[in-house]
Amino acid sequence: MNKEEVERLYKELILPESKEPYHFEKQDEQHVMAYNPVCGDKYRIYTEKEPMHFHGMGCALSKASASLLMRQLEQMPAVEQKEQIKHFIDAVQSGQADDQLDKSLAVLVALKNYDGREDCILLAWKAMLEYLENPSKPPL
Amino acid sequence: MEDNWRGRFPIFQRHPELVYLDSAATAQRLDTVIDTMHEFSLSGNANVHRGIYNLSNKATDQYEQVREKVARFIKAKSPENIGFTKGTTESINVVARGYLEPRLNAGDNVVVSILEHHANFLPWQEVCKARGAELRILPMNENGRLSAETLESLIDNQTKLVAINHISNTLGRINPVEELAVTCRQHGIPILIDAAQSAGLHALDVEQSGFDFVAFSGHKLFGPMGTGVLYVSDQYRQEVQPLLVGGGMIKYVDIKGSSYREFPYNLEAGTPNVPGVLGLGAAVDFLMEIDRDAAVKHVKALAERLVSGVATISEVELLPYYDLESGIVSFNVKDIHPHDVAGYLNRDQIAVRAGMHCTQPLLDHLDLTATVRASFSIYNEASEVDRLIESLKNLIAFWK
Repeated sequence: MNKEEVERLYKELILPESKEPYHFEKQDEQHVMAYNPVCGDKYRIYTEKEPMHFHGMGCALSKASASLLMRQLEQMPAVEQKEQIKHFIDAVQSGQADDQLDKSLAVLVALKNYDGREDCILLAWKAMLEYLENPSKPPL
Repeated sequence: MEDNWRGRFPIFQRHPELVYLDSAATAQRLDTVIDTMHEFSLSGNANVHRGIYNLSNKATDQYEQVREKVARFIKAKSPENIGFTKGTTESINVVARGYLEPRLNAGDNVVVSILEHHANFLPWQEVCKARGAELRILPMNENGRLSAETLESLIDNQTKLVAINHISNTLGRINPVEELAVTCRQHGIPILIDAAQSAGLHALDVEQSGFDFVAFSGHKLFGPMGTGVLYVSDQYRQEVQPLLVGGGMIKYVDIKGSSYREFPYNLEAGTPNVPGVLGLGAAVDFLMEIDRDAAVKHVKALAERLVSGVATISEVELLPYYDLESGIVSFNVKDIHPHDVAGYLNRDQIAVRAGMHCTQPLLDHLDLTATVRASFSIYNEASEVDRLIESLKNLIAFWK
């Protein structure tokens, strides 16, 4: 991938998804905290009610990725959610997107392969996985 | 460029297109530093302070010569004021744990500024917590200045130490550390200076300035990572206890109890980072050879070029209170997160830092979550500033 292709992916997916994130709304519900102490990106993921929402601030990549997380997990049972998240985390960490992976998520894998930023891409996903594996743990 | 400084840094031959603007995080490595460390492995490798053979004696001599060089470099009275550590963070932790903690009692206080890097904030916060002492924060005044008057109003007879950075790694602010040291001296309070951002190009005179403790890292002055310096004045030299005990720092060991050497030799338990210290020595040689006033003028001119170049770009917002002589300029681009700015610049092979720069209290104070930081050094060129400005303009157009 070259710079022009990266810019195309940003124009087609990352910028629209981050400028108008899916189910992006502040709520007063119980939440999962996704926080990166190195850069200050911080999102709250509201898990109590369907559909899940999230809110917070961060870079376009972390926000777009959190938004895609909302889309992916919508109306999915918790067991499947966990598998779906693990599948995506594996894909990002290995840099290999298989046919099972949603096309928009494969774009994130491609972007990670181009210029890293794995922490931005996986911020909300890892926080959500930690919550699903240990729901009683308080946020931060 | 003066004396072809850029040519002395081999990384730019390997990466001719790289625009490296992150020297405040780590400076690039000088050719003679690399050669010195390599040569030690090729022909000089032996442990120091313990061999009765030529190779070890030579290694010991070279190692101790670096202590002398560093003493001359910062105008310390003697090599015995110079301890080697693995970096600024360790140096500050030695003072916090090895000097201050045993003397700190409930009701005492320690003063740090709002501008500190976490390395000069957390060690004090931790010892204060452990001893029931208070951590007081010296604020900036309305001009972003740390003033002696404000410090005067903050300290009292239970203030046990003041710790201040010389140059803020986030703002590029140069703090009036000599003035603050005068206030401390008048009250008999020791002052620690975090010189991580200044020791490279800004000449230090630790004796004349009345500093009691000074900490800095080798890798920010063109030397190797994993090397650092702790200067301790004669007044406090015998009061610094080590964090680690073991071979090489003892006076006498007995099954009933043992005694240790004094600072700086008590800091160096175990086998020290000999090639690293020799590399640090090569970096110090270089810095003492070059015209450091000219070097500061050079980074100032680059910072000035960036500041005036972005003045016409309304989306670029500079952080306040910078001093151009630091070579550090922090900014934000309106409606674009600093990580996205740095990511875009990276695609143009421009390396800048984005994030909180380990200064969360300062960013909270400025109501910011993150910034972009460009930091210049002697190997940077005006054309690189122009590439940064051009790339920022392209980013702003792209993001719309």
